[in-house]
Formats: sequence, C-alpha cells, structure tokens
Amino acid sequence: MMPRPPARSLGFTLVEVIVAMTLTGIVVAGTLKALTAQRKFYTRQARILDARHAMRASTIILASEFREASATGGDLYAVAADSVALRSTVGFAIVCNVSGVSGTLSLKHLSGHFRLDAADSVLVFAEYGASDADDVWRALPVVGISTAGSNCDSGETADRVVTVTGDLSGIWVGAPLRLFRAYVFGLFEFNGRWWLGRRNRGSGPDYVPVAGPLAPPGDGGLQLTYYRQDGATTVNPSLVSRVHISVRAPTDRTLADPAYRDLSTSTYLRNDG
Amino acid sequence: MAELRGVKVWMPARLKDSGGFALAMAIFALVLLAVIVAGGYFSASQEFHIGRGMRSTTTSFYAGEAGIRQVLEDWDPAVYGALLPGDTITVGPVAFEGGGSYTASVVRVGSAADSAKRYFYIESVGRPPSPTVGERRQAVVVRATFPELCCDGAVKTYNQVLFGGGAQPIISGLNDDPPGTWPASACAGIPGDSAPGVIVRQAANVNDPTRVQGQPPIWIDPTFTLPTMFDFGDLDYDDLVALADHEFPDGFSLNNSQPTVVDGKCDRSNPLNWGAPSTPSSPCFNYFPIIHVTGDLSLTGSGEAQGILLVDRDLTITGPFEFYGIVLVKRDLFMGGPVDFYGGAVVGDDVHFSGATPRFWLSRCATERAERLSKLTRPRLISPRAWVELF
Repeated sequence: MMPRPPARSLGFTLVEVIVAMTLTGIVVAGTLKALTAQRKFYTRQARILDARHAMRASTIILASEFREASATGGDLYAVAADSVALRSTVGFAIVCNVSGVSGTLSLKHLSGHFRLDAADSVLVFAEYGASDADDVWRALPVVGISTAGSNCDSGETADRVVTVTGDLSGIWVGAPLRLFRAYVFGLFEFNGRWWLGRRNRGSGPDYVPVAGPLAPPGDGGLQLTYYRQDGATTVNPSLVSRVHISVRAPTDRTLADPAYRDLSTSTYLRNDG
Repeated sequence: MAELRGVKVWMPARLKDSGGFALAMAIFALVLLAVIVAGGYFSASQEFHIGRGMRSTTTSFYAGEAGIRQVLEDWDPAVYGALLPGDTITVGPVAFEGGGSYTASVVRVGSAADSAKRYFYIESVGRPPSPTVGERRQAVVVRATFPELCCDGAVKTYNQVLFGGGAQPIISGLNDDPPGTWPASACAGIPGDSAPGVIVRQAANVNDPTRVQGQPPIWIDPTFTLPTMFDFGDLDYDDLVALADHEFPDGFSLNNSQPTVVDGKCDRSNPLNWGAPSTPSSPCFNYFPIIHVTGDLSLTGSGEAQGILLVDRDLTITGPFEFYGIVLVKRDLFMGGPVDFYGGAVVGDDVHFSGATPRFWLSRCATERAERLSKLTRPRLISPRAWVELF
C-alpha cells in the first residue's frame, strides 16, 4: 500500500514571513548603519589626510623659500603675520665667462628653471679688493636666456648664457648667480575656500594656489612669526633669523562647522653669514 | 516530490531547497568588509609611504648637509689649494652609522687668469639608507682666502743687515722662481713682481749695499716698529702661532725634512715632515707646514725644507741647505755657508750673512705657495647667500 502524501505546503506562514522580514530588516539596518559609519569614518579620515597633505605642502614650500633667503641681503621685502614678500630663487649657476661688451654671463653647474617666464632678474656675486667689505650681490635685469653663445673661459661649453643689463664690473669667473623673482606668499580665497597662494610682487593681485585648502585668516590658516638671532620676535625684515610657520587646515565638509588640524615648523634662514 | 531509486517520495521543503538569502548576505557582508579593510589599508599604506618618504628626504637633506660641513672641516689646503680651475675632487660616498650617506664634489671654479679669487663650488648629494630614493642635493660656494704675510721685500729687518766673510753672499729682491725641480704649473698665475732686497729703518743699517739687489735694492722705512712688523692685518704673530702644525722647543735642530707618505697621502702628523720641495711627484710637494719654535732653531746639514717658520728667538741656517717659504724671526737670522733661501723673511733684530755663498732670493711663487697651501688658507662661505638647495 502506497504511503499517503501529506497535504501540500503552499507557502510560508504569516509568522514565518514576519520573522523573516524582521530579521532581514535588522540585518539590513545594521549593515546600513555600519556602512554609514564606515563612510563617515573614511570621509573624516580622507579629510584629515587631505588636511595633512595641504599643511605639509604649505610648510615645505614656505620653509624652502625661507631657508634660501638672506635677511641681511634684503631678500625679505615685507613680513606680516599671514604673508611674506620675498626674493624667490628659481635657479642657480656658476659664472664661467663674463663678457662686458655683450653683457652676457655664461653659466655652468646649472640648477633650477632658467627660463625668462620663470624669472626676469639675477643676483650675481661681485667682489673687488681682497677684503670682504666690498663684496656685493648685484641685482641685474635679465633680457635674454639662451643655450647658445660664448663658451666658458675653460673652453667648456656653457650650459646657458644670460644677457643682462647693468654693470658687470667685479664679477669674476666662479661667481655664483641666482635667478630670482619677487613673490608674495599669503592666503587667498577661491570658491569659498582659502589657499596658500603666490603672486608676483610687482604686478597685480592675482594669486596662484600652491597648496591648500587652509583655514581662513581669521581662524589662523597661516601664521608666521619672525625671530631675531637673540630669540626675540621682530617685524623688521632685515633682522629675521628664524621663522616659525604654523598652518591650520579644515577637516570637515561644512564650512559652518569646521574642525581643524594644525602643523607647525621652524626654519632658519640659511643664507645669512 | 523527490525521486529515490525511481520512486517518488515526499521530503520536507527545507531539505530539498535552499531558497534563503543568508549565504548571499554573508558573502555581501564579507565583500563589504573586505572593501572597507582594503580601503583602510590603502589609506594607512599611503600615509606610511608618505611618512617614510618624508623621513628619507629628511635623512638625505641632513646627510648632504653633513657632507658639506665635513668637506669644510677636513679642508686640506695642500690638496684643494693645488687644484687648477676646472679640477674636481670627489669625496665619498661616506656612510653614516645611523644610516644615510653623502657624496661630495669640490670644484675649483675660478679662473686661471685671476689666482687671487679662489672660488670653490662644493656640491653634496645626500642619500637615505634604504630604499635609495629621495636623494637631496645642496651646494655652497666658498672662497679659499689667505692673509698676505709676505713680503714687501726679500728681507725686512728691524736692525742691521751684516754681510761678513765668505764669497758672494747676496740678498735679492728680484723675483726668482725656485729653479730646477719646481714645475712651471706650481708657479702658474702667480704674479712675479720684484721688490726691494732689504727693508730697513735707515741706510746705515746695511753694512755692504753692493750685496743687495732689488727694485730698489734697499728701501728705507723709518716708520715701522717691532709690533707692527709682526702685525699682518687680519693676523698677528700670536695668531699664527695658534695655527702652527707643529711646535718645537728652544734649541731644536733639523738637518733635513723627512716627508712621509701614508696610503698615498702626505703624513701631516709627522713633525719632521717639512714638505718635499724638490720632489713634485710627492704628495708632500704641496705640504707647507707652519712650524713654531719657542726659542732658537737651527737648520743644518745637506737638507731641504719648506713651510712657514715662526721662531721666537734666533734662526740659524748653515749649508748646504735649501729652504722655500716664509720665516718670521723674532730676533736674529744667521745664514752661513751655501744656503739657498727662496721666499721672504721678517726679522726682529739683525741679519747676519757669513761663509760661502749664502743666498736669499725673493720668490713670489714660494711665498704664495706657502700662504696658499698652508693652514693659513681657510675656506670661507661667501657672505651672504653661499648656500643653495639644488633641484
């Protein structure tokens, strides 16, 4: 005799469905909550990383500029708590031939960007007598930079030849030369955010962003403190021996409720004495 | 209805059908977790690499900086002072115990046409220990300058110049490069202007003017005093004593320089090594020690020496002996017998010439080499803006 099959199961009972839906809801809600938390965590972490990168870049750039400057040589034009105007060295070389007739200086041991669109002036070392007292760095406007021209006194091929206007007396083979441009570094606002920017000191107020975003000036986005050799603070550009650079960058998306991270560093001006 | 050996049998639905979503949810959750962990790892790894890169570049920066400082600290005038324009000396690579290394190069960048302006370009490349990424380059420009001790004339003396006995003693202010073994390159670029043979305070102080040559042979200068004779502007006698390589007691006598070479380098630690003036191929040919003697000094025998001698009392040279360089003698200078002296002298009391052919020749080459290749020459950073970070 064949066994009699039980009555066919037609589906879940209401209780089963409710239980399943409740469990599913709990799991989905938990997953969503975890996801949201993770998303917030990563967003926050990403912003902290971004802020750190912005602060690091800002301090590295500014420290590099200050390190290269000579306060006694007049490289700091103006110093303020949230900006600085200075001579920025964009190229360095050694003079290997001087031609007063053509107004050219041939160069070896080149480093940096020797292009007219990068800078339009040079500082070149000049000396006269044996004493250091008459040594001078002479600033000369550059009217041309080429890869062809007179060779070095040694017979080697010069890496570049710069044509300048001005007095070339006292400039000897072996003298160092710096290609420079006068820049202002400071905070500026763009698209509702504040950036460390750089602009030409002489022409126009337009900043070019170099790092950021940073906190607004009122929240201490960039704070520069200048110290003399004896450790006292100073606002006299020619007395600056050390600069404390402090930057602050936002880590929250909402501008209304910012949270900030800070980074500070100190750098000595390397080219005095 | 499932089949079992061809017979359809009933089985509970939960055993024959996996219709739930727990597995899918579990896989989804695992994938999600994996993504989250991977994202976290990626961020942390980026930060780690950035941090490591920063540490590497910082190490490189200070290693390069140390390279420049070390070159300046170890500056050997006998080596760097002999470089011709365009010559380069490479130092390193030098590794530090704590990690990092540097390689420095010293380039004489001045012009042969102007020997007084001695510019050197020192470039140092710093590298981290490992991995070898993030090297930093920096450079300085220095001038190797020296104070001019010598010489307004071949011999400048406070009191008398006394020629006695012997044949043909002579003092000559007509510039004369050391003959024979000195190669032309040793004196290249050094101005060869002549000067007075002797400088004294009054004409009567020279007992036989016919023995003196120069332009003019005798220069009378009543203005100088004992203190001013030994004051050379930036340096005075005591400053020079402080720079001395070696010091000897009163009564010291040298019969010949003993140039010694260790590992291909001139051994400066040997106090009896007073250079190798007649051997241009020797590493000690360019070594001009500054010697201080606290009393009397004698140079005797068939020998030779070079350098800068600071003698607190008398200096006696008896031949056959050859000396190249500068002597500053606080009291008397005695030269007897066949002596050849190339250089210049400042004498605080009398000069005595006796015996056969003691000769004193003004030599700009010998005096400048003594100044340039001795510890008188120190590299100094040009001021300001000597330092540059290279790209």
